[in-house]
Amino acid sequence: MTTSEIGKLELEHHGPVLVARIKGEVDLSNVDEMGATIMSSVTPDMHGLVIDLTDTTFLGSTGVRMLFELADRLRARRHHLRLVADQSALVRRVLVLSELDNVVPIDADLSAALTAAAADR
Amino acid sequence: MLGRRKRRHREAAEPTVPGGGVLERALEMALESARIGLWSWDGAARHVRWAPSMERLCGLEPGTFGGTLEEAVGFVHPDDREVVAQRLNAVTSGATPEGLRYRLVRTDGEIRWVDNRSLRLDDGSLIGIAIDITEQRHVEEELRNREAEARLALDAGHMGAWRWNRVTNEVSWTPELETVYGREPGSFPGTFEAFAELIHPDDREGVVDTIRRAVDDGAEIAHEHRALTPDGEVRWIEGRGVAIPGSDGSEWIGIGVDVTARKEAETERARLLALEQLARADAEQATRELEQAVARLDTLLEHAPVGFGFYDTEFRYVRVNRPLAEMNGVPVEEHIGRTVGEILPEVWEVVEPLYRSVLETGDPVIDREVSAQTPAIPGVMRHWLISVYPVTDNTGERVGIGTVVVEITERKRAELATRLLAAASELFSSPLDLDAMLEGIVRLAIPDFADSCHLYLQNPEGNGRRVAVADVDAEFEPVLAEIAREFPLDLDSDLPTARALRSGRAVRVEFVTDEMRERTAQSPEQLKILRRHGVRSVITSPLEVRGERVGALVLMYTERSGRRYRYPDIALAEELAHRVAEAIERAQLYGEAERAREQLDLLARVGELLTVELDSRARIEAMARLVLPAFADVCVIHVAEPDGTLRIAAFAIADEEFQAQIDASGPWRAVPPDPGTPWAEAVATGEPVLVYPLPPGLVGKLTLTGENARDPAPTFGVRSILSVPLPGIGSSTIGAASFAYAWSGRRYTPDDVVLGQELARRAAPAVENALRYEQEQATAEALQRSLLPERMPELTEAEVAVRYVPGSDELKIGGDWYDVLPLPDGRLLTAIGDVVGHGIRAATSMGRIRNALQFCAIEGLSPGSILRRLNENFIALGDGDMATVLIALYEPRSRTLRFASAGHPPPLLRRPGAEPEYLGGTSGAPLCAVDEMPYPDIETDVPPGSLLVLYTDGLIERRGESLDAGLERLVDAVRDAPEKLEEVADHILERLLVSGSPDDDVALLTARLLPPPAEFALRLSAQPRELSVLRTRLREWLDGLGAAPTERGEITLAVNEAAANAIEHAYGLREGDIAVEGNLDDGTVVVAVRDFGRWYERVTHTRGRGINLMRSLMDDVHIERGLDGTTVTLRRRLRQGPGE
Repeated sequence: MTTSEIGKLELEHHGPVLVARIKGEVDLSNVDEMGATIMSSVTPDMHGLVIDLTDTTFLGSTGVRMLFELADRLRARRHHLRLVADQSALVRRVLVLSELDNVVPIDADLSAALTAAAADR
Repeated sequence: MLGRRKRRHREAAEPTVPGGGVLERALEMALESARIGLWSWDGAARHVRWAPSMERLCGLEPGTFGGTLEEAVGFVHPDDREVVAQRLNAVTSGATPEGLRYRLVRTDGEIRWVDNRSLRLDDGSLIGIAIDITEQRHVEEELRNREAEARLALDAGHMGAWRWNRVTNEVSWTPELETVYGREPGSFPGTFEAFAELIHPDDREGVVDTIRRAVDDGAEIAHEHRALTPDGEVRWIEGRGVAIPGSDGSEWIGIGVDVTARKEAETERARLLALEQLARADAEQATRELEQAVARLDTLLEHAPVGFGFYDTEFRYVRVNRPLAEMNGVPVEEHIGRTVGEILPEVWEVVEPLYRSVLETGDPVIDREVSAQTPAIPGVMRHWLISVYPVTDNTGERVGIGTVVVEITERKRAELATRLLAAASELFSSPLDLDAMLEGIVRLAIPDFADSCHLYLQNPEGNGRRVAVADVDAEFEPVLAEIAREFPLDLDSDLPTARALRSGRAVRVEFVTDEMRERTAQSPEQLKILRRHGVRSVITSPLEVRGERVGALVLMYTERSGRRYRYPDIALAEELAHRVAEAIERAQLYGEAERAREQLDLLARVGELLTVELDSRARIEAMARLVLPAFADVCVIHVAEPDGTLRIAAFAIADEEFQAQIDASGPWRAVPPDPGTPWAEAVATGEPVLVYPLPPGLVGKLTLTGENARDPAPTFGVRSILSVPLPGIGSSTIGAASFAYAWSGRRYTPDDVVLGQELARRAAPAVENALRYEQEQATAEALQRSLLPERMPELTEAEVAVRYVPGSDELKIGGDWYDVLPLPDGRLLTAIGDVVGHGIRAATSMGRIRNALQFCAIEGLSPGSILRRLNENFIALGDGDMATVLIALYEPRSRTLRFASAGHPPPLLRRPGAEPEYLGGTSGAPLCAVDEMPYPDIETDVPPGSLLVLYTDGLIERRGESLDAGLERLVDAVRDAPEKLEEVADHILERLLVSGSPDDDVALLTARLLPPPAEFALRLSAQPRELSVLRTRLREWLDGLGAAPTERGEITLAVNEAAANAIEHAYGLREGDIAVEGNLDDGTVVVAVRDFGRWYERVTHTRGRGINLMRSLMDDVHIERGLDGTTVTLRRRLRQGPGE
């Protein structure tokens, strides 16, 4: 589990899918550690990864950059990545403005994401 | 050889007369060998005795002469008999015997020339000698013949002709003439100057002069000169010339003749003459063997004022006559056998080379001038004309030399006196000032009449002396002058000068003793100097001018010459002193006439001075200077302070060096009056005080009271003081004017008191005005300064710099002011004004206006309302002075400037990036000019950073120039003003004030208007963890502004992006600062993120992503990169502004 003053990372296994839930804020001070933790938690036996941003209160371009990097690296390992972000949240708007949604599918909630992840197989 | 013979004969000497004994025969032989005949004549017995030498001279056998006069006269040549008889009769009847030349006819018919000399004996009889001078006559004749031969030779070719055109300066020479001058034919350049060049340098001037005079007179040219031929031969050339008749004196012809041969003949003749004389001397030598005869013969010589001396080859005296012995100061006998060097060491030094050369070369020296001291009169330089001849024996061998000496000391002294006195008279008749004249006098006396000459002019008290010193050793001059100046003479002492001044007669001290030096010296150092100077002899003559002994002329001989003053020198010294005194009197009379005229002018000029516009201090100083030097050497004006102390208001002295010292010692302190001083007395009693002579204690009290005065103060040698009170209004005395004479040697008399009082009466009003003004100005300036703070407090509304420059004209100080008032509601009030009038009253008015202004400003009134209120109040009070005022109120939030003017010059504003412009609009009348005057407010927008310039008219006014020119100059100065505000103020003053000191006062206020303070401000270190702090504080601020949550999130995100960029790119995650400022500007949130580093350009696409985000989320993103950092300004209009 990774925790900083401003942001917290929780990992849950849903069968072959790993769910990483980011609570609080992601900025320059914690983004690198968070990205590294997530990456190291992904094992080859897993089918895919879902990053849940529902409770993420702040995510700027540094967070976007981390997500782009994760997407690149997981694709190389033939792992699937999905994001969860509330339709109306600022985080969702940032992801869209950054055109991350062209690279990584975004779901409105976790169950939709898990369903889609199972279908990805 | 001669000496030996003489001594031998003297041992055998026996007094006898011609006619008897062995010795007589010996003498006779000697005489005969010299062809001299001895005779005697007994007038009573009418008997003539001839010695055998005489008989032989006439061809008689010894003893055959009969003894009658007739027989003797029978031997005289018939042509000469009458002369001889006449002379004989004259001598017989008592006339003094004289030499006579005549011819004898010998028994064998041969004619001989004789030189007959005789002497009367005590018993009335005559004794005489007849010297055969036939040989000499022959020589002369031969010389004449040779001359004739020489002339013939000339005709044979030693002659050339010339022709001279004076108009064209052409001189043509025949080839013969060129040959005469030893030049190649054709080489003569053909001008008069070229001719002059050929003349021997020693003769050149004389010849040119002779020719010029002859030409001027139209006379015949006749000259004789030497010329040097190219191979060094000296030729004598005689020239003759006449004007060509009809040429009107412009053309001359003539001849040049080589007369060298004749000249050589003349020299030869001189030599032969000398030989002849020596032959005679030899004869005289022989006669000395018989004492009586010798004595008689010597007497012949002694009576001539001529010294004869004969010397052997070692320069030992063989024979001297009495005049020479007396000259030498040594008895005749003591000379014999001793050398010249032993008898006359100083003379020997001079004549030795001369004597030696004659002995060695055999060439006689004629009339050589010789100067030396002798043991006879030690310390006196004597002068002689000396001729020196070689002496040869019969075989022609040189056995010694002979000298003929004529003393010319007296003649030289007379010459010196004539020369000195003439030079002195010349010096005095030229228009010199006294000092230069005194200097000339002392120079005159050295070295001929003194080694050191001092001239003192002194007062009876012994001070204030002038000194002129000349010395053969220039090194001593300054030292001696200093001693003489610094240490006045003790008139009661028995030093020569003191004695001379007491007695009025010259005093001579022939031998100066060391004891006298000890008494003259005032310190061991001086004694050392005086001893080194080594005065040996002194004459000091008093200088008497109009019955008063004013000084002395001191003449001194030192060890340098070793000479001494003798009795006869006194007369010359006195005469010289007399002329010096006359000259001084003349100079003084001239000076007094000048002064009388100047004093008349003085009163008129004091009056004029009062009408000239000067500031008060300059006026008092000018008055003090005015009286110099006509009425004083020093003038001091004291003023009485209210507390009774005295202060010097002006100190003028007629000596630049002293004046500089005095000026450097000021400013003057007020000191309690010293009751001993004349000025204190004049102030205390209101009566004039004349002090002469100065009482002993007073000089010490004449100290300076300047703050930088040196101790001890210079006293200038003051000898007379006149202090007169300066009358104030009523019966008060406001101070004193003191006049002093010092080095001029003058003194005040009761007549001067009247003039002094009149001067004081005329000067007093000016002094009084100046005093009052001085006090008032000091107060006004102090007040002005106290009212105008020179530094402004730090303000948030604007940076402000102020300047106040007092006018150079002290009559115009006061009344200009400025003020800066920050108001509680965030506005800033600036004001500037100028009260009409100056001095304390203006300064006070200004204070009142400023107080009222502050009161109104705090009430929140607009500038126009404030002016209206001030105008009403001051008019109502009825005693307000007219004043111009400009008030400008700056409101940062609305960026507006509101101003109003009461007759004041317009404010100048420079908006950022724009031209400076005067803010126009309607201006009201000055305060207290018009009742119920409206003062409209004028409003203009002022972006932050604008520069506002307020000023008073002194800044832009310049004499003889329109106001527009000044206004334009100010615009130019502000246009290129520097960045820093304090420098802006200095820059403006520098550009606008020509001399740095304006006539009128200048007040200047410059303000750079600042934006309102930021509502959000945060400074954070460039660390990633700081970002959350920024976000938290930003959200709070945005919440406070009433921003919607979306707006809050998006603005925060955008600001975070900017800050994160700065951390990453500007500092690369190193330490640094980031400043974030936020304002709500008319419903728009404006946030500026500023870093102070340089961006590292890397990973452009990610940074681009951040910037894209900012652009997507905000209305406007402005990025400004500078060398010292980057500012990102983000704007986002809120949907719901505050208050909506």
